[in-house]
Amino acid sequence: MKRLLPLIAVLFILCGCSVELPGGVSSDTVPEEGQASCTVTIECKTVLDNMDMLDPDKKDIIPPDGIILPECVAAIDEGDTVFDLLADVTRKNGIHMEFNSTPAYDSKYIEGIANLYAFDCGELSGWMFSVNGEFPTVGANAVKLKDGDNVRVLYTCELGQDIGNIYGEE
Amino acid sequence: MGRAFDTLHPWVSFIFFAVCIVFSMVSSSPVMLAVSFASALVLLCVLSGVKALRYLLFSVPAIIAAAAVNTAFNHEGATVLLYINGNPITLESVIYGAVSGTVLMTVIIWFACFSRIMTSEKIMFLFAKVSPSLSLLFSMILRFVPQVTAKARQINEAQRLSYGTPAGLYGRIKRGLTVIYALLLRSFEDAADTADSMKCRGYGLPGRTAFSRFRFTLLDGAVLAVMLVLTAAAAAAAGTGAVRSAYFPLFSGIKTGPYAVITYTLYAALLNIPAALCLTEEIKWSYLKSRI
Repeated sequence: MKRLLPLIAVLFILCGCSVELPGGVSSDTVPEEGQASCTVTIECKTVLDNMDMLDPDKKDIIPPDGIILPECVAAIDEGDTVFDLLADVTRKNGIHMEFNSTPAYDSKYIEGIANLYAFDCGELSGWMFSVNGEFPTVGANAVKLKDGDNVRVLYTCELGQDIGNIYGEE
Repeated sequence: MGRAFDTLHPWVSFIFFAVCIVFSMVSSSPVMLAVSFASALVLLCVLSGVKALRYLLFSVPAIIAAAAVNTAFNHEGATVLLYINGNPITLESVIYGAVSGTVLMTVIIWFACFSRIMTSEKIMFLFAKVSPSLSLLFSMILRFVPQVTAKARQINEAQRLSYGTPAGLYGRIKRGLTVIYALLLRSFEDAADTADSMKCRGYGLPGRTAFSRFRFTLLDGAVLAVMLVLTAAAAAAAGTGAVRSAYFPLFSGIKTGPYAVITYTLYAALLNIPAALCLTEEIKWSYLKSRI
């Protein structure tokens, strides 16, 4: 019994994990008639202007036009947040995305999309998002979406200055 | 076996181990790592026999564990295998974890060789001039743990002979406390004895010299020269970036350019100097024996 304890502990931890296989590109995100939907884009155009600061190992993964996911329409459910939408579209389009989840603060931090990570292009770089042109001051899993919202997920190299998120502007 | 390496000057052996361990830790090339792992294992076999191969058995679970831990915390990489709790598990992360596990095992095996060759006498010889108290402390610490374990075992056996094997959890705890009590008393007594004995022999007095049997011979000079030349050449060849492997976002694979092959060869030659010395000695010995 004593010997089985670690095994049981491991099984217990694994039971709390959800395991999924990566699927191919599917069109599940396309909304059905009458279902709420949003438009999404994922871009890293600012990297193109700062290629000298980019991690040399990452040069090959930057798309030449800086567009990781061209604008598309995605279905949302009641109560979906920006994070849910992003997780959904990246998964269904076969785009890599890593986040760091801290349940104690109910926080989900997007570390990298398509292998482009925060701090890969200078120390002020990272991922930000805007909803209908506004940059919320809270995390992506704290912003609820409604029908017709326009979500843009953008990579910045200057803490938001280069993508129109300017601090202190009313 | 292993006498040829053991009788080398302590500086030569120390520099050799320093080079091996540093190279194993900093090189990002899987081939260089494999060469280092194999060389460390060969040297350990030469020094302490075929039973050293049991390190191979330890390595497999260690490498698997490192790969598993790395994939749990590092999700970078272009090749997604599956998703766990929404985060991707990538092939690159598995590879990187396995490589880190191999680095860990390689360094452990080099240190196993290190402890066979670098006895406390040699360590005292190397560092007594730099910091006498520190190297004295170091060599005392090195023998402290085995010494205390041996004493504890003696006390335990004496107790068992006098009072029999303790019964039950309570009995075992009581016996353990008795052993620790005796062990503490004995350690205090030994410490006082050691201090007295060292004082009698004039430790810490000015003008006290130490005798050592180590002499820097022609062979030491030759081995050191070959070693330094090979180290410089391997470092220079590795410095050109010919062997560098990137693991993220895509594993760049194993480098096979001409510079890379030269680096691998030089590196293998460098790491196998002691094993070659020992084997040459062994062959020479059996040849001479056969002529008697």
